[in-house]
Amino acid sequence: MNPLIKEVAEFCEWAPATFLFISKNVEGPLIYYSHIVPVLFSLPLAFIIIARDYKNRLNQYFFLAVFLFSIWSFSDLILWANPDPKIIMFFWSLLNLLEPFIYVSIFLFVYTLLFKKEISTVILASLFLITSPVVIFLATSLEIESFNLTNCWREVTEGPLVFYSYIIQLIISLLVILFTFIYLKSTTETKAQKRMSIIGVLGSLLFLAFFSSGNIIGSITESWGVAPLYGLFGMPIMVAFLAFLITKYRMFKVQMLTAQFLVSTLGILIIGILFVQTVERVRLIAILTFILTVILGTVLIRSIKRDLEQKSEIEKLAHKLEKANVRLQQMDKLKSEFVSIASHQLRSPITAISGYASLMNEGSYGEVPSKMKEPIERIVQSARMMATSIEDYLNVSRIEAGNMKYNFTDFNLNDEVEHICDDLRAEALKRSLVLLFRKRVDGQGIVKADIGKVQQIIHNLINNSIKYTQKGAITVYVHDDIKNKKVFVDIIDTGIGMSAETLAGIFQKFERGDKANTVNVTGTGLGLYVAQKMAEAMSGTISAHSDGEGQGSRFTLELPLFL
Amino acid sequence: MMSPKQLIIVLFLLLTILSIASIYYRYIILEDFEYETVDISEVEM
Repeated sequence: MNPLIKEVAEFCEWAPATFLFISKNVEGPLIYYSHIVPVLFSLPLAFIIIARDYKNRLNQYFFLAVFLFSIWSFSDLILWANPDPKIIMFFWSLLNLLEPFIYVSIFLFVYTLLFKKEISTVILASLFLITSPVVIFLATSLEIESFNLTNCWREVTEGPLVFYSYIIQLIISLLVILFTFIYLKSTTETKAQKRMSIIGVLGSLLFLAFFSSGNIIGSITESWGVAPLYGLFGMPIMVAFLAFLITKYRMFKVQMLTAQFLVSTLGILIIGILFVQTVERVRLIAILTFILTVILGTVLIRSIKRDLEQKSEIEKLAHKLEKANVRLQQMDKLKSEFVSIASHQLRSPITAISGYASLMNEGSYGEVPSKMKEPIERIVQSARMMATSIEDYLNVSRIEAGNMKYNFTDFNLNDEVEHICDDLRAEALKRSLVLLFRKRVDGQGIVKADIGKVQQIIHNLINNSIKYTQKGAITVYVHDDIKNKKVFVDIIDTGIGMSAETLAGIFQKFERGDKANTVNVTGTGLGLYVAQKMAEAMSGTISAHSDGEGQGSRFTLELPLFL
Repeated sequence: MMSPKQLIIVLFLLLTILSIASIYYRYIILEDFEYETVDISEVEM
């Protein structure tokens, strides 16, 4: 400090400053703290956001705005606290340099928030072009003319460029509004996304409005009293808006942010007490509270982090599972379609083979030598077996695709079962088996079902019994339960029976009895599956019972009675 | 090679550093500025 200024400082009773900004020159605690509080609110948040994902443009611009604002705040604090004119000259110029840049960074933040893309080179170049005069002429008297010592003021007389700077601020504020309107007109985003963007813009605009009002009032009135400093509170308002976005919409993708932010702000505030309180006991309490805050804060943040990690892991797994499930369903559908198409393609030639072979054996194409009759009969039998298998596959694919059609009518189940027994008796006799039909019905035995499907089920069950019984009898027994409105068809045989394990899976697809191959080599293992599904579709069910291998079996078809 | 956008940012950053260095040199080192006082008697009148 030159001797003349030293004299002025002594005359004006300007106190010296420690660390540039700690001095008794500040006029009251409100003004003094008004510089620190906004920085305390915003800077920790900005650091946490940038540390989370420093490559994210939105995070970068937010950090830049807050960082520049923090330097601006401390520079302003220095102006208030420091008595040295050369320091004031330097930091006042720095303030004037920072202001347009704070606006530019807020603009970049808003643009990225709205359009979610990189700013174009033209817009960026234009922004820098309009701010360049402030940078180029910073060290000239266009920016600051002189240092004003009148009435012991520690102020500068600002040059015309400061007003140019305010024009820039106005232009950028208008650009923010303009781009917000463009966004609202052109966006295809959801309502929630739109609301989030608008809240972000609103917070930024309020900050800019507060910030400008403080400076412009100061410059125009040339009175740097308390009023312009309220502009500083624009930043906590913007931070409050962002905190709302973070919690409500998970902006910046930082869910833990609120906890970290609270803990770090609390810690910094407690440390702040050390600088303003000189009583030793208070300082001790502050230190202990700070240590406790750090410990509890760390525990809190870690537990939240663990929770979030687990949640995100579960979300990832659920997403994978969902995708796998969709893929499986697609593949299952494709499989069913393939089986359906393949079966249809096979059915026609098989029917032709069977039909023509039958006609040949019947002599429709001339006399067949007796030696040829048996081979042709085998062709017919094999073709029929194959047709039955194909029919089973087709039924399965129809059931799984939900394409099985049911034509419900009322009919007498007793009569139908009796007819089927009559039809199959000859088949049983061929194998030296007796097929008996018995009934004990109290009602009329009328059911409402698809007659064709019921015939198919009973046919299938009796046929199975014939196949798996080597000697003895097959009894088909129809009885009803009027009270419970049910009718039953039991098919009881003296065949190979089933173990408990076989019984458990007998109605599954492609399941066949353990000893099935020893008695009957043919069969797809689909018959019972198809029969069960058909019975279920007609509000009925099929159950199986056996006392064990070699003990025979009992299959029961249960259908609701139609009274 | 730098993209045009990076080139603009780097140039502007250099310009800014240069201007901060200029104010530091002019005001802190050279103390090259004028003091101004308004005649208080005139103001009061």
